[in-house]
Amino acid sequence: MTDRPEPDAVPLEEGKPPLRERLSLIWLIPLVALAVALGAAWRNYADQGPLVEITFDNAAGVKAGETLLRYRDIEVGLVETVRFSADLEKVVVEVRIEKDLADYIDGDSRFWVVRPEVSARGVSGLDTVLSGVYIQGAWDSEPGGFASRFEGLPNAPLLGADQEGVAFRLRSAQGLPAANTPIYFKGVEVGQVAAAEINQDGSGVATEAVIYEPYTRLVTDTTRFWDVSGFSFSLGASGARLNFDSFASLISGGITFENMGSGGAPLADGAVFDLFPDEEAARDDFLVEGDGRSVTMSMVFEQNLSGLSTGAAVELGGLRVGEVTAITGLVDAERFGDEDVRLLTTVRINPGRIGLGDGAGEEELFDYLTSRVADGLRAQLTNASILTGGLKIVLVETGTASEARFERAADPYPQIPTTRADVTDISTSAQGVLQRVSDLPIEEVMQSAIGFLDNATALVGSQALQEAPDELQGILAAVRGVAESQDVQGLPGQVSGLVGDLQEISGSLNAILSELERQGISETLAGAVADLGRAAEGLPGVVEEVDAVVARAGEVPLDALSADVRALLASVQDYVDKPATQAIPDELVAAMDEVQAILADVRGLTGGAAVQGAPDQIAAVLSDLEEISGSLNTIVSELEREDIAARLTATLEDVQRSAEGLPGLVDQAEGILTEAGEVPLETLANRTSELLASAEAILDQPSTRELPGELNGALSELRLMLEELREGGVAENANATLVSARDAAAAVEEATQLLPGIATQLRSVANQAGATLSNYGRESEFSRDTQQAIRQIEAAAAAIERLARTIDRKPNSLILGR
Amino acid sequence: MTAREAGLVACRRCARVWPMGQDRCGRCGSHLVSRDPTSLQRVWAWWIAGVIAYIPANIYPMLSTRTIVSSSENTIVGGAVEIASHGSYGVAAIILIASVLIPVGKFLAIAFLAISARRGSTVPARKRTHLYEVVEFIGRWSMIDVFVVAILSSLVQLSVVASIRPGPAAFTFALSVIFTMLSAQAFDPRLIWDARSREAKRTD
Repeated sequence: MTDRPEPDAVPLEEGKPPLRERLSLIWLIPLVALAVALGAAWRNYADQGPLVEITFDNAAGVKAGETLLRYRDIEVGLVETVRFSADLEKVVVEVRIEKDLADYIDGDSRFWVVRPEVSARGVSGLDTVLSGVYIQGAWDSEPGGFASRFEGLPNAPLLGADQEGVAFRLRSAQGLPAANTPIYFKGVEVGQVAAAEINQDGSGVATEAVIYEPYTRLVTDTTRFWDVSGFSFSLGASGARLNFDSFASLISGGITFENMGSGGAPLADGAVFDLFPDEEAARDDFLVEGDGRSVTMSMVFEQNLSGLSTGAAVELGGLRVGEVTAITGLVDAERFGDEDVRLLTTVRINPGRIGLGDGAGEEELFDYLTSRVADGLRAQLTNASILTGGLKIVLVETGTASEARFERAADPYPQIPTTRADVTDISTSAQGVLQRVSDLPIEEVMQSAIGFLDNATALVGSQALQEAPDELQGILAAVRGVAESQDVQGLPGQVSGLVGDLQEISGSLNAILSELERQGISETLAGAVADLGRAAEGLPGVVEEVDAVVARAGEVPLDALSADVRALLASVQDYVDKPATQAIPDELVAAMDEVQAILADVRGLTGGAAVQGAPDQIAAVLSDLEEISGSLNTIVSELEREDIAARLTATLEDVQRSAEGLPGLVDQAEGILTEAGEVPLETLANRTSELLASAEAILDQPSTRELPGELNGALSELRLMLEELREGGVAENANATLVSARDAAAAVEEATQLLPGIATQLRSVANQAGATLSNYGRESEFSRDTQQAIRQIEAAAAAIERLARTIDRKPNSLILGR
Repeated sequence: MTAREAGLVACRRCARVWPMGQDRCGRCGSHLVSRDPTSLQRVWAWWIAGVIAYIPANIYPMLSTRTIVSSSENTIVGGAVEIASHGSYGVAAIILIASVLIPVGKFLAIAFLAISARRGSTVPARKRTHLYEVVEFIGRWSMIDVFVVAILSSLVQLSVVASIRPGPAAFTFALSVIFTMLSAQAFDPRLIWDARSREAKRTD
């Protein structure tokens, strides 16, 4: 190196080329990279939405970078951090929200954590089981400026982001159903309640509730809500009642409502309603409160009776006008002068229910009560239900028993005076009844019954009773033998023959009578009577003729007559003297014997069975006779109809007229007799005495003397016969017969009365029959139709006959069809 | 005595020595320069680009794993820590070495080499040359993480049940590795020796 010539030492002034030349293009690469990186970073920052800070009491399951924020179930943000608040009381969750939505998240936005939930009504939030919880946001669709800090809700709100409705409050003194209990209306879910909260003073519970759109119009201020959760069993003033709404509500609970009245203001946001334990309570409340503001009043009862409860009715004249709202004891020595506990009852009364008009308020009610109390109106405790011992308050008129007045200024409420309770102590009565029941000698009765049953068993089991059926069987067999004997069986036939004969006879009699009737006996009789009348008209003439005869008789030579009489008497005497005449008594005796024999026969006859049965037959005869008498009656009525009586009267008058001529006749006869007295009667008397002597001679004969003895025998026979007849019950039978006859007569009488009517009816029937028959005359349409029908039937019969003949001739035509 | 002092220039591809002033290698046709005046500029340019790319590669998730139950996104370091927390320390160590230690070491090494080439160093030139060789050799292994992500995401694609996807970091990390490799390549190791000779001259 040293051998080489050293160039001149030039000052090493290494001039730098300009920067532009020295810069390599390679620098573009990092510049581009930087630009890209910065651009990406800027864009990332610029696109990033705002951060929302939500404070939760409990953020279980929320994870930074994982848990999403959803709005209407769409992701709109992501949790960036989860941390505690400064005092460690709460969890603060910061959520990065999409930029587009930031404006909508205003102060009204609500956030809550959605977790899986399993309840009686189903499973909700199931998707969160796998994906983890998420935060649900709800805000309205009006951009209202971004707000970055929120209090998270502990539970899902009743109205989510996708639901619209009206929120109101439900309160109750007893209790409210669990959170998320649905509100049903006629079985359709129309709303929901939130979890209940206890009032500040602990007097009740209240909760938020919502009714979804469009059901909000169903709720007005006349609506009453009641609980239908589970079932309720109530034993109240109106008896026992088991109540449940539906199976679903039985398990999961529910609330329902109804509009008790019409009209009413629609549901407003934030309205407050009471929840009643059951429908009855709701309706009662509406009755009291429904159509007007109720007025609260108080009453102080002297007796502190158990059984009055809040909600008990206050009645006026049987109408429920209010209810008891509170009951407390009251001790006020200053006011009442003793230390007794009294019952202070607070009630509310609806002026509208009393009938003071719709607009009636406190003042009207107080005025009314003041005047009524002055008239004696008092509050009284009385039984509401005997069964349960419940009490109610009635406002009754008691007369002015005590001076009391309606205290309008009483504290705390206006006070209505009271009167003694009218309470039936049912428990005491019931106790008495039960005591009497327990006093009943039931055991003794049971002992007696057992003894009786033992005896009965012994009796039934005894030998004698068990043999009784056999004995009975034997008796029945004997009876059957008697009944089956020929004699007995022949009886009915004989009797019926006899009765048949009698019936024939009566029938014949009937026939004769009807024949007589038919032959116009009545007319004949009438004719006869007319003839008699005519004859009677001729009587005066007869009398005159008799007169003439008598006159002539007066002229008759009586001497000759007496001589004839004498001759006659002599002839008689001759006759009496004859031996033939002498034999007459013997013949008489023989005749008497025969009579006696006949009577004996009769007696035998009366002893026979036939005679014994005679009464029955006689009865039959009598019934026939009844018929006969009926017929006779007809005749009589017929006679009546034809004015027989008038004619008879006329005839009798005629007779009377003719009789007027009789005195003359008598005078004449008298003359004749005086003339006769002059007749030589002595000889006649002699003859007569001779005749009598002859008769005496006849009578003196021994056979004549035997005659009375014979007669005596005959009479004794007759008596025997009568006795036998009596023994045979003839008298009774006869009696019965007579009764029957009387009945028959009565029947005849009735029939007689009916007969004229029957006769007229018969005549009208006959007339109609005649008219009808005349309609069936030869030329009438009916007869023509009938004739035509008959001709057709004849033709049909002929055709059938022909057919029959054909078939007869050629039976195979049926089969061959020819 | 150096080649440059001898008026010679060696081909960096085929090692044939040519006289100074020869523009192209007569054997392989590559461009002949005695000293690349823009070498350090290129080194720094690629280096800066690599660093820029490396930042999001560590911020953004490398791997996004999605199953029915959960979805998770892991950055490089986060993934390594998670794996380590499951007890797989070896795997965690590999990931950390390949994805963090090596790239960061490369950045530092290249920067050191580039600075020392200009300013000189107390470190002997021989050792620095050795360092450069190590950097060149090991740089490609940095891509191991990218390969793992590529393989996993192509293998685990059970669309509904589970899926693994490369995150944005995978892309920037790959870029970063490429940039650092280019940076290392842009470095002219002869500068190390130039600096040594300059020092020697100064000490003369």
